[in-house]
Amino acid sequence: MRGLRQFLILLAIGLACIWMQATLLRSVLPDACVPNLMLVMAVYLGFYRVSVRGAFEVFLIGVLLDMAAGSLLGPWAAGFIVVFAVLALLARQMFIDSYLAIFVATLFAYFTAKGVYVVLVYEFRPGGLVGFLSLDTVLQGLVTAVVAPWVFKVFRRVLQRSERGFPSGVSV
Amino acid sequence: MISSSNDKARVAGVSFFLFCVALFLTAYSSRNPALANIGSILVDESLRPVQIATQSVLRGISGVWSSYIGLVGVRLENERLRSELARLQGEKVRLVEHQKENERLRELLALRSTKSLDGVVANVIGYDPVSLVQAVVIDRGSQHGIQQGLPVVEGSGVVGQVISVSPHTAQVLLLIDHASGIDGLIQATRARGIVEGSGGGYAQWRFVLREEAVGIGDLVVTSGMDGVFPRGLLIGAVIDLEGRGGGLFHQIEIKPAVNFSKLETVLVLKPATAESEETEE
Repeated sequence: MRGLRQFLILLAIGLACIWMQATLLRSVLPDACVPNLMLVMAVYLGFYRVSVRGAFEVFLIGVLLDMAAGSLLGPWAAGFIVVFAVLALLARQMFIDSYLAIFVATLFAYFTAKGVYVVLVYEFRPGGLVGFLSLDTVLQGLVTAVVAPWVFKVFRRVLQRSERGFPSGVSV
Repeated sequence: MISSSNDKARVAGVSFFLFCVALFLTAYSSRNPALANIGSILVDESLRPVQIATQSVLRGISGVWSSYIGLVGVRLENERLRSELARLQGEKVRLVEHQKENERLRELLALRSTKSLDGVVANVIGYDPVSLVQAVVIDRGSQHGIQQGLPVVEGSGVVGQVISVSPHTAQVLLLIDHASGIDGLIQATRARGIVEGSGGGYAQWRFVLREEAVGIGDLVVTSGMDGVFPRGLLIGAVIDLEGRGGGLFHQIEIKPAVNFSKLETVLVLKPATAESEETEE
């Protein structure tokens, strides 16, 4: 029952992120300046929820982003899983509460996930290929990395509240 | 937090497995676009109410903002148009002045061509400061060929005579001054007399014998006999006549053809004109 609640909360946060990315921020900011909040969420889970459940959650938000994109189901999920795996392995070697660490990790995650996404889209739908190293991509990566520490705070607050009393091997 | 290397391996394994699932999903959805569409529809439908509300709020804010910016733009444009209007009004005044000057010059030109007169066009730049004499100052002087005694005319008729000359200006005694005297005659009956100023904007026509037929409204023109004014220039019209007394001459008042209060541009006739006129005569 609690697992379902966790799942629904995660789904709601994911939808909220999509809403902010696709509607709210897109209306007031240039496309290149809209941060990829879903990716920040994946980074957050890679840092703070290093577990099998965390892997599934990251996979879920990746699929959610793919669904919102409406093109292929899987590229973002694959990219997020790669990011999660790398960050989960590195999480113990880093002081992950540092702003710089979050910034660097998010920047790395952005380009990694985007790289996986581009490769897969190119492989399975060549016509839908998007530029990987365009100025917009770099700018969006930087914006995403810059806002990530503050987004982390929000995620932490929301997810900790939902975690309260939930026995888990993951420290949040 | 990963508690052991076993957990680490488990997370890595699950991640690998999920990556493979993602690859499979990607491959599958590339061949079955309907699957991706279903997912898209699900997300879109769940977000639609929020998106509609957001868009309407954002449009409202955007509308208010653009209206505000529009008002600022209107204010700026209003200021710009006001200054433009002021500039154009000045321009209009200047153009009207040019037009009036053009009309005056045309009249002078017409006078020159019809009467075969030649002279120097001058602008009135001042009046006699103490009004002891009825005179005006023009902006042409000896350097422009102006000499003392030259006749001065305007489109509608005789103005007066140059009485003093400086290098760049000259003073013109108006025919309405007491000291002015011009030999004139009635255009219709050719009765002769001397037109003298009487002050107050009018002139008197003196030394016209009583037996001469003179009527109100008769036009008086220059006779050309005074050696100053060419013949046939309009001086004015008879407006009052007192010939019933016992004197030898009529008492005649003339209204000059020229409106001296609106005098702006005049033509100073050159000596050659007068000479040629006399030669013709």
